[in-house]
Amino acid sequence: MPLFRALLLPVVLVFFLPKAPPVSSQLVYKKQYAMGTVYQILAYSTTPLRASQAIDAAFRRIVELDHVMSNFDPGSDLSRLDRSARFRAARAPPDLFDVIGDSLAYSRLSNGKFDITIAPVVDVWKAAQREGTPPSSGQIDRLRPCVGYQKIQLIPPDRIEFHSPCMRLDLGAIGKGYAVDRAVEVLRADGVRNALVNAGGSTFFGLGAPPGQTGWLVHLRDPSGRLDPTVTLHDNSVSTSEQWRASLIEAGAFGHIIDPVTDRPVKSTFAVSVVAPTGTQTDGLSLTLFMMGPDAGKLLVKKKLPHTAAIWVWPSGKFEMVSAGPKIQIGKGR
Amino acid sequence: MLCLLLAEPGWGRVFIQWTEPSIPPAKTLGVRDVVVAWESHPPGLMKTARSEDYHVFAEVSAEQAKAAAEAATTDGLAGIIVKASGASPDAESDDHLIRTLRSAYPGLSVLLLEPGGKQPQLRGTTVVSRNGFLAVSSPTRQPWIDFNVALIRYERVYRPAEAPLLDYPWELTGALEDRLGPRTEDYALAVAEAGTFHADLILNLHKHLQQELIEGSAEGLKAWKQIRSYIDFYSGNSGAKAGEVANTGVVTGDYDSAYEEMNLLGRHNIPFRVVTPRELSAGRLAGLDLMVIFSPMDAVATRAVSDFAAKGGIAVLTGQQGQFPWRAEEPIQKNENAVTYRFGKGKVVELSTPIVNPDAFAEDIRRLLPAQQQLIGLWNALTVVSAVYRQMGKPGVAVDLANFAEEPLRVQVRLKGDFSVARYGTPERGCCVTLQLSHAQGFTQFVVPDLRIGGTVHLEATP
Repeated sequence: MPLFRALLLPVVLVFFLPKAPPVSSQLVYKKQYAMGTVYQILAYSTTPLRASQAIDAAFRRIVELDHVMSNFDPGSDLSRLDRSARFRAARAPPDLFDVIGDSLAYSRLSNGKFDITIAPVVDVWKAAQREGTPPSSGQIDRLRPCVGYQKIQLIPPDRIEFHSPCMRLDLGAIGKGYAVDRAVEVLRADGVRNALVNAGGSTFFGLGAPPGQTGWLVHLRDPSGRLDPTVTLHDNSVSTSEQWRASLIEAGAFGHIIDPVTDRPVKSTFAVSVVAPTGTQTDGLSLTLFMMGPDAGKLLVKKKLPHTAAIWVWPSGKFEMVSAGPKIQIGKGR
Repeated sequence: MLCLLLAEPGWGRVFIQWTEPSIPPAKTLGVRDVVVAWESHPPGLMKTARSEDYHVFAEVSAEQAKAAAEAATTDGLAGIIVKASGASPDAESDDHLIRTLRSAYPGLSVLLLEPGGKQPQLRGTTVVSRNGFLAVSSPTRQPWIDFNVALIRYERVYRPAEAPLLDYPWELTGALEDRLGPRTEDYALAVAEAGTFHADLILNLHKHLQQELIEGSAEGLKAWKQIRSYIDFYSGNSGAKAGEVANTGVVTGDYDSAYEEMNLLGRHNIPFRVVTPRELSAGRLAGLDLMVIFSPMDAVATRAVSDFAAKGGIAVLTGQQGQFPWRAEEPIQKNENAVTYRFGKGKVVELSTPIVNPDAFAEDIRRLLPAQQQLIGLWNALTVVSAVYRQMGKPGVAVDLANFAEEPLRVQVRLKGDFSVARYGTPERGCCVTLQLSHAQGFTQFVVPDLRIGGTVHLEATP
């Protein structure tokens, strides 16, 4: 088996086999491309056609949110907000207002390590990566007026103002988790009780459990390939963040996650997975805890984040864990 | 200007795989080529299909081939399709068998079926099988695409006399999909993928669709009409295009060892062709700006690589052992995986560790090529793969695009060369609308307005 495929699907031969479901419960599986990734929903149902329709409705909700939160689509609500909210309160649809509000909570929680205003700096680094040389400090300095979550003002119930002449938001670090939660709402409303929603591998939500099981077993990202951490989801979510290695050839190549405090790519080599009650929480927290690192991150979970657990895994096999409720297990299923 | 022209046999043929006992007339389906399994076809199907005006092909194993060919001539079959035993250049026995059968039965069409094809599709990280599922968390990356570009381009070089012929089972998940079969879009994407990369295809029609077509149900006929628009589009396209354009070479004699890298080069829309070790040693590298060398290098190959780099080429060596002339130079870049040397007008990059991340590797290859040597660039196209072909008998190129997201995309394209007219055709709307062009620094740029699953842009060169 080619190595990369082996890395991608390392446990296909030993994967979790749920006990044979009752004859009346059937698996329905669908996938949908949205938000630059593949969403997958698996559901067990005694009425598969109805479950299939519910999944279609959940996907429609995700696609609708893509049109709200996309920063690639100039016609999205987010793009419109970016153009109209500079020094002027502009209306935002409820989903956009909510997800920006949630984002600001993680910014405050992490003292700015999580920041949806970092987009202009990320763009400069992306361009630099194509050229192969880091941006100058002058280039970064010129962007400072555009960055800083404190410059976003929420004016309930539905208006937002940027206190910046050049601010642009990027919801990439939280939008998929928010979309997962809304999809789960649709599934629940349509009578689906047991389903797994997967947003491109970075965020999962386990609704109920597969037949005969206590929950949905998810293998967590393991850069060491030796630990196989797992979590069993039951009405909760898990998300993973990691800095990708940008190049096999270039010395000092940089990855895609930029630290909003230093304005430089993060060099951490660990992967972080976070378990919490909702997709919005885990998506936001996985980047937050990635940026904070295990020392400050563990403290944060213990003090302020009930029903949350996190694991940091290094390529060497070293790992650190914290839990205020959910269990992350090492080595299950291998 | 785009540079490399490869001769290739005809392509774009879609065979319909049929398993039900009866079959609608050929004029109803609008296709003629039908494949039935030699061993397990329902009694009477071959005769019925012939009477309904089909060209009937029997799919056989290598062991069955001789007996099947003998019977085919008396049964009035159009041909046999022999399943190859492996995608290796050493599969001499398959090639020998095909040659022998063609010689012995000159009136019979004898085709070779490549094993190892897979259903083209977007993949997520949850893998579902009949017995359960596997969910693996990861940071978000570009969506994974399963497609057959590596197999097609490899076979094109190692079996140049054959058009690669693909066949694969559908990956169906859950009771509902098992019962209803693939979506219409899945069939369309299968045809579009084969058409984009110039392969022939055996399209497995699911039992449910076959039954709907036999019954003449409105829903089945509607689905088939859409699928047929793809079959017609790509078979109609085939005469207008010639060899594929590529300026990156992958030197390998072992499909498996370079599979993921070729796959990811294709995924990142880096036009590449497979180069045999013999071609490398003979210095037959015309049109290449960059080479990735997987096969072990001897002294002759080392000289060829030295010449290539000295003239300005970029050579990327994977896991090579030996004494190399470029090592006399000081490295211009070095990390734990790779050492880069300037050599003559070009560069040599030696990778010392296995390529554990072919995705990052493909991105490296794109960055290694100077901007002026990047033949094609796509934007807003995370789910799109492309291939560029010379137009037959006239200056210009055709760009084939396949969108695995199966939803309309507005794709920006930047193509090396100076073109004056671009016409865009799709299976849904036929040929063609004229696209607006802009030109900058030796490149032509245009926007494909609504790429749903497949489409082709024909560009005429500026005189």
